[in-house]
Amino acid sequence: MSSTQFLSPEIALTPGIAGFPGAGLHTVHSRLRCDNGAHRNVGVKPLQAEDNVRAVARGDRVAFRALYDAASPRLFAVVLRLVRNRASAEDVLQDVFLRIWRSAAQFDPSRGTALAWMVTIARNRAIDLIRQNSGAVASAHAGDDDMLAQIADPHDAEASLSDLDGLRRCLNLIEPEKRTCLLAAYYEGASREDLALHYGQPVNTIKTWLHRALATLRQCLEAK
Amino acid sequence: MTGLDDDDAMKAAEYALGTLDASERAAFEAAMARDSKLAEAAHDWAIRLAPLARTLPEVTPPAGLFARIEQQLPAPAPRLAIAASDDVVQLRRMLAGWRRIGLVSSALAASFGVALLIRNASLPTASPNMLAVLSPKGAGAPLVVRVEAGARKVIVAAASIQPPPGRSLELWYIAKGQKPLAMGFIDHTRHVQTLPASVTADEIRQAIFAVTVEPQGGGPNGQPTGPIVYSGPVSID
Repeated sequence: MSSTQFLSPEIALTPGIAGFPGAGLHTVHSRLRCDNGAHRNVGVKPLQAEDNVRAVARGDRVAFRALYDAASPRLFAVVLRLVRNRASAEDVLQDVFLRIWRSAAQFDPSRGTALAWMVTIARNRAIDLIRQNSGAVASAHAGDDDMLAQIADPHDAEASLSDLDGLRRCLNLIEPEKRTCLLAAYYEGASREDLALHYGQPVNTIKTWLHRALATLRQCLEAK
Repeated sequence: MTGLDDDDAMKAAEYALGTLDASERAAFEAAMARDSKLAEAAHDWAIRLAPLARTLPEVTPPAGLFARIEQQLPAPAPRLAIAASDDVVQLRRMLAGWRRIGLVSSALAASFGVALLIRNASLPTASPNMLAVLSPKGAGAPLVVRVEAGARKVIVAAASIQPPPGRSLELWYIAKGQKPLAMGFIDHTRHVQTLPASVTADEIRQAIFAVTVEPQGGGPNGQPTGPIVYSGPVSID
């Protein structure tokens, strides 16, 4: 039993790092779902990550090290791109892995892969930091207008073709400017204000763009 | 994503994307703690977007970082787990105790209705100030938390406390029947935090505050994990 669940069972629903609702309720199905989910075509490695998270939940330090070795370069890339300062990125990554250690019991493989779970923790911590320091964030956030190009080429040999391809196809349905807003927000941590500056648009317009982009994306992904 | 209106659904999406500003983020996190549908919606969005993270070239973190992380892991003895669960039991008991006190005082209120009405009438109803005097678990001075109910400000004056090395002291607001709400980290400096807009003066009156020892930067879930070092109920100033 994770000590994080201590006040009442429903406490597992966490603010901050996208809780993993119903953790523990799906254990019967998780093994089945694990083989049946997005990683069906991917081979062994992602399954190991899921196994390692389960082992970490039992306090297994060897599994924790294995998880760190496998995931830290990707998580560090995500965090570094968001906070854009090596020392801060290292602090965030340290915090991220401590959170992974403490909340591993709440990982629910029926609700996404272990990597997606860890990426969620990492992005949330990095974004917390840059939003808290928002005064210091420059408009340079909104990067070039062709961010889709970078996602055409996954750097992860094991990347699940199904989920990245599906996402890419759906992103293609979004108008270019709105899509760039969404990608600049995801990769660079661009705020609505950053995007408003970059595009010379009112913040409310950017908000509308983001909402339309997200609505299109969700509609497309759910129609798959 | 059933049962969410468009506004909440978009907040969840923007939370996962990261475009809410600091105060909207904090408000949404508080809302997620109360409403599992919001937390699920935000989680679903994070998972939808997560494949993007795979497109970045990997960057290996510095060699010493894992050692730094490992140093902060709890000692691998079962003793610690037991200590933690003792605290859990203790906090539960305290909550139960305060609830009982609440019941008793309600009963007293019923029998001394008139007197209490007069007393209440003398309070400024718009923004009463409240105090919570948190008793230390061991020896030492109590910690005083002041609440400006009107502005929903929670204020801890500068006190002579320091978190243990490598740890943080986290303040929690615990409304009756609700999960603890993180109120930030306290140290020897003055600390001011704002309660969510949905919190009413009545709710604050029945709440308790507690301070726990947490890993640096807080526990993983925005919920307390470590031992309680101070706790106490809110009373009228």
